[in-house]
Amino acid sequence: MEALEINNEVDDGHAAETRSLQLIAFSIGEQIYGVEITTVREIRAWNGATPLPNTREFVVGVINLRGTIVPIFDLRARFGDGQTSPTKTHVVVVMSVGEKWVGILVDAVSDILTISKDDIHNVPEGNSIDTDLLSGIITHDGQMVGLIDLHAVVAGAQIET
Amino acid sequence: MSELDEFKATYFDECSELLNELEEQFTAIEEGDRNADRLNAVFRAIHSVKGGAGAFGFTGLVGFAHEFETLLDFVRNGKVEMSDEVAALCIRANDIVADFVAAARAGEELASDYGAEEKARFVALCNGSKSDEELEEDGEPMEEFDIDFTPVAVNLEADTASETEGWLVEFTPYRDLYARANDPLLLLRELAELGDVEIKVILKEIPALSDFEPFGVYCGWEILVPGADVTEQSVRDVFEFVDGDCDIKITRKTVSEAPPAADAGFDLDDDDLPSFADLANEIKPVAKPAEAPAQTTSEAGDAKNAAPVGVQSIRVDLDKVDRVVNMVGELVITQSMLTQQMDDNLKVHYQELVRGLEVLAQTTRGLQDSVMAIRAQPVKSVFSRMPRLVRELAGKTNKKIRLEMVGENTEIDKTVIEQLSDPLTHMIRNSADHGIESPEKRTAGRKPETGVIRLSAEQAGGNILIIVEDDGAGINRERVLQIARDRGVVGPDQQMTEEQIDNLIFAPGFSTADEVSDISGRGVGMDVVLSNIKKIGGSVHVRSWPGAGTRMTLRLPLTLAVLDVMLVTVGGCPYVIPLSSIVETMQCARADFGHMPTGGRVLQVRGEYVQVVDLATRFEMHTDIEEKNRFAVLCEAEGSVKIALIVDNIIGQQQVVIKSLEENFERIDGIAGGTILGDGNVALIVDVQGLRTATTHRNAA
Repeated sequence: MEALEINNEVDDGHAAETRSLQLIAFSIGEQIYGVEITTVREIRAWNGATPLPNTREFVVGVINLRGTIVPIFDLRARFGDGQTSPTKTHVVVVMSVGEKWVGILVDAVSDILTISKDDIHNVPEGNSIDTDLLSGIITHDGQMVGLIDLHAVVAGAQIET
Repeated sequence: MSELDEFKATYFDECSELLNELEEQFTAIEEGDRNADRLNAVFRAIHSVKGGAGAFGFTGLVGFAHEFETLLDFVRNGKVEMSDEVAALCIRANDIVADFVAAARAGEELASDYGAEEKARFVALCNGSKSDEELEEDGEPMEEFDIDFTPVAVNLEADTASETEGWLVEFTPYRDLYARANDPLLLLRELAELGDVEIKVILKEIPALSDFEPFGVYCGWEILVPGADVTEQSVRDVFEFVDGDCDIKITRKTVSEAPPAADAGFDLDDDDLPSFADLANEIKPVAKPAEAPAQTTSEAGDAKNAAPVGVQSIRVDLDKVDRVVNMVGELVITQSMLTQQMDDNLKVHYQELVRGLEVLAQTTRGLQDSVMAIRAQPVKSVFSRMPRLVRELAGKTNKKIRLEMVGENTEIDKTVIEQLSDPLTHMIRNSADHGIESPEKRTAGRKPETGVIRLSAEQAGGNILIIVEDDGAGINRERVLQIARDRGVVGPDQQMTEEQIDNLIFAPGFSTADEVSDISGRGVGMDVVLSNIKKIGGSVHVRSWPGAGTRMTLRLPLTLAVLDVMLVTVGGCPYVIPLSSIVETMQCARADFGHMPTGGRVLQVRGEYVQVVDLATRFEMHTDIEEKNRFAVLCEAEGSVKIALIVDNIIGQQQVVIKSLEENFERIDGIAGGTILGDGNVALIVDVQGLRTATTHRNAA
């Protein structure tokens, strides 16, 4: 089980710190999404998970992260794009959401981006999934990167009975 | 947290322990057990509460405790008789002390005249007490006089007013006394406040200069405290905080020949020393401080309540114990992993390794039991709060209630105990409030006027049963069912057994509104009981007999950390079922299934039909395994109700460490938590009780 520890040291320069933001960017199909680097605890290769009963289709299951049980969410399924069939090359990004640790299953981690906060655009009104699950959109190297709203992604995981 | 806050927190921890002890002692005293051990114990406890309160400036508490303590001291010395009335006053006073402590803990102030009435009673009792002379006439010797006097020494008439009577204190500090930053000078000064003391240094232990150790203790003191009116306790109190850190000998000193003015008897020349020593030998020492309470009564005294001899304890941060528990948990996992890796092929070739693993398994188990024992505490700490609650409730509702407690020494995990207080309070309150009838009603119903609530704890296998039972009116089923129907908890046409109706009081949403508390059945906060108990992996069950009473049973896990389980698979995924709820297992091919009109299935086991829950269906897992190759696991849920869980495969039994799902996710219906298997994968723990209730509710819907 390989795990890549993320170094969370803050970038040099205080001015830059307040003006800019570092993102971990990952891909789901052709689309790139990002989360703030400080929320990411660990990135690890997909190694299976134990399914959780009576949860929505985007809950992949739970894994053992050094003795703690961490749930894994399938971001593709969360966006309503069908469930991912994970392979060894898929990646789980473990992040902290409030007090909790959760893992997000993505196709691949693509980059670490430094962006300016000024460049974050609002999500256009329209599709409720987009506005609910994204907190903003930025353009990087001519490509659109959606900023994930983690709290929204992990909410409503159980099937209402 | 500042240092002072930390001290305060420790003080409050100690206070709650002391108050629990007091509650227990006073209850015994109220019941007529008034031996001196108890009186000494309560005196010491109140004194400790007062001491800490003084240090933190809780003046109200200090004032009250001080008067209380004075009364207790009088009682102890036989100057005030421990009548039923005084016992009742003491119990009330103890409640007031508890209120003061609670207020101080919450940072609140009580009314300045809080407890004033009781305080006035203390003073009145003490003022009306017998004087020493009267006592002697009564032939009731005071504690101090329980000595082997020589006739010459007891010249009481001449001595009562003279200064020729006093205490000889022999005080030798140990190193620890200095190590704990105590200063003998301060102690001597404090002694000096009791009267015109004579102090002499004893330098017997001085070694040769070359043998001097910088931190050594080479001197002690002999202090003569004159004055007939100085009590032994006041001398002892001076040394209270160095108890155990020094050698203390306090002896009654009487000098018959000396005129009051002359201090010849106290002239502490070297020459006089032998005479002191002689005196000390002549007069039997009363007691060493630590042994004082034990010696005041015969050894036949209540052994259970005597201070445990030879048991030493330390106060440890619970976090530290938790860390050990967690590590032992990891060890259990690793050990079971190693055992699993050991296939038959290896076993043949590496017999030494096999033996080593067996030893490891045994040691691990032993270690685990020991660690769990560290966290185990008698339920007494929670139970002891209940008599007060019942007293208050009886007072408020004008009922007569007696509380019986059984099995207070049953031990249970500390975290479980902490979670137990609220549910127990709710249950007792319900019994007192709704269960027990008024004395008039009881008499009319040809029952004894005094209602009985029985609180008991016992160990049953891997569980602890806590039972709250009353001989009250029982649950008014019609009302409960009516309200449940009105609230939509139960469908209008749904038939329910008596037992199901009784247990409706725990249904969420059933008891949240105020009007429910008016009914003679129960309801107030019972859903809170259920949720609290569920949180610690337990279950609640209620059974009621109209007119005869109600019994509520709490079933709690012995420990929260480790569980013996059966490992099964469902749809290719591992699940574990707690062994404590499994009755038997059987292969589906040989099981006897029946179909119900609603589509559900039942299993016939020796003439008894039990409900079938197919875990694959329930958990929406896909399974390819043919029905006849699957297994039925017969489980017993709360209230002796059985259900049969259908699983794909049974792997075996093992021990697992319970991990929380809620820590990073949320609670899932039918799942009690997770655990990590030897191969590092997560297995889910089946919540047998939850599956049973869910099934009932589903059928109801």
